[in-house]
Amino acid sequence: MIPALLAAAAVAAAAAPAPTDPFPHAAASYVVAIDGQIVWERDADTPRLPASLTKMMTALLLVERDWDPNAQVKISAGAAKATGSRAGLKAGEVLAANDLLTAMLVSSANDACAALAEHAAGSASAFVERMNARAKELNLAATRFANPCGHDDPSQRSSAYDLAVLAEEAMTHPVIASIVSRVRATIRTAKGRKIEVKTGNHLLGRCEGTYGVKTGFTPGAGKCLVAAVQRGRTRVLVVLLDADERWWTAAGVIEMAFDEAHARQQR
Amino acid sequence: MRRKTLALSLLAATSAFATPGSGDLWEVTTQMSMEGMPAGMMPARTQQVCSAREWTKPPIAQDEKHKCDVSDWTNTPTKSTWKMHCPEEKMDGTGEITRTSPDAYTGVINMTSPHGAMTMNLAGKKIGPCDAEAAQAGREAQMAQVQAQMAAAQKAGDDAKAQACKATADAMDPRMLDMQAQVCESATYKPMLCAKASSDEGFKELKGRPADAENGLAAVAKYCGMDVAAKEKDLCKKAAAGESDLAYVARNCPDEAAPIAQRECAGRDYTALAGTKYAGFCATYAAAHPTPGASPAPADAKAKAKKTLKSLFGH
Repeated sequence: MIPALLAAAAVAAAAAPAPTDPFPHAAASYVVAIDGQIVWERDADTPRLPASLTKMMTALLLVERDWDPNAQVKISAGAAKATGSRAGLKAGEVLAANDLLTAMLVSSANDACAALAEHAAGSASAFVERMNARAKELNLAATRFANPCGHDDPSQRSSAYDLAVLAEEAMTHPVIASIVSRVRATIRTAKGRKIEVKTGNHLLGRCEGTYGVKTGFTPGAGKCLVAAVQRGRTRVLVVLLDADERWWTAAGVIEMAFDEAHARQQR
Repeated sequence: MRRKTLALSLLAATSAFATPGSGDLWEVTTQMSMEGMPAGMMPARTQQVCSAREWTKPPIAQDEKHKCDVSDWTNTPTKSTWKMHCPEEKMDGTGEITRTSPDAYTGVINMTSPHGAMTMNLAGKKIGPCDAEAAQAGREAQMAQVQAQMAAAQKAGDDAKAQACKATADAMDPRMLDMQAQVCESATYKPMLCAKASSDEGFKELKGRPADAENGLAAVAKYCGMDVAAKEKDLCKKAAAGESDLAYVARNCPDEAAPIAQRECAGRDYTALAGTKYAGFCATYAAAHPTPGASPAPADAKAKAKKTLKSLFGH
């Protein structure tokens, strides 16, 4: 049995029923938490490829240590060549760190992600060391990072539970919480080139109360999603790993989670 | 009815200070409270009462139909006390008045009965001499006013109790009704609870509660003797026919939901359908009615699930 996400919820967990698996085909792994308490889960401890959900850790590290949103970051040749989702940054361009963080979290831009990791630690590998150290601090037992942006790698792994904990931690930072709630944004290079970035989180603006956090997809990981939704005083966190119909599934699970929360209040 | 009579006896107590002939005119403030009645339900009331200068008996008016026996009467220059027993009402009480000065007193009358406890706090201030006979008519009018006040307070208390019992029935929680059985008569409120449980709205609410809850559908159905299967069938038929509650259909009515899902959800993209009438239905259906079969963990089962889902939903 997985313990409650938050220490504050641990007391309540003692009296709470064990999480169940009412959606066995929704995803390879999933976690649904209501107000920090896991109510539904499947294979929540099994390590899997986390794809771009990795960027929650990247963002967390960036804002936790000496975060300067106005720091000028030069795009390296390596960062400009990042594959997968990209903001279209060019080698030699300079952008504010906050703009790169926005591109990384809103549109999951790997070029922005790589540039920020290099800027923060000097190299991607050095940044990855920090990521793994932070994962250990957070007791993310099933998590190990091999790169900062979520590219498939046999050594890159996390679990639905670990990612739920990571998401909760990341969302405590207003900088991250604010950015991941945005549907679109415009960033600018130092020379004034505008770049439009658009969220990959289709729940934003469509599923009532959704305020973040991150999507991910790689061939190895499949379609992944961490979604945070708040209605009234009730907060629901959904983590889906390798969910073929992640949007339909997430939307349905979220509705049921709020119904469940209502039912539990009446119990 | 009994409580009303009790109230009349107590209310009369204030005016019982008066006797014919010359006396003292007191300004008497009374504050009544009753067990089970919200605090402040009955506001304090001030009256002028012409009473005999020397008290030789408790300041209690004797209702001829419901006479109370007085005992242990004591009277000193500073304090008067007594006990009373009203056999008709099965009511017992004590009274105490303390003279805080020649011109003032405070007092309390406590009564208990099978219907609850009542307390009347008294405060008197002498304001001059009076003609008791002339005051008689005024006292009677005052009594009538206080009686009306008491009747209103009792009615308010009864109404509050009825409202609380109705709320318990509306909550469809047999445990609560059982716990309040002495206050909320089962003969009245159980049918009310079961009527709501049998209504479409009430039944849906019960379906939304945890299945194993003590106020869940199974528990309430047992309490009311409901035919759950028949009700579910009827509700699904009605909800699907008018598409009046698609969320309920998606979650609870697989037979009715399947054709709607095939017609409205198949091949539809979430972003295209979001915000439309069927978005919630399709989402709930996708979560609540995943591909039947084995766990997605094994490769073959996962492949099967993917294939079947893709035949119904778009990406």
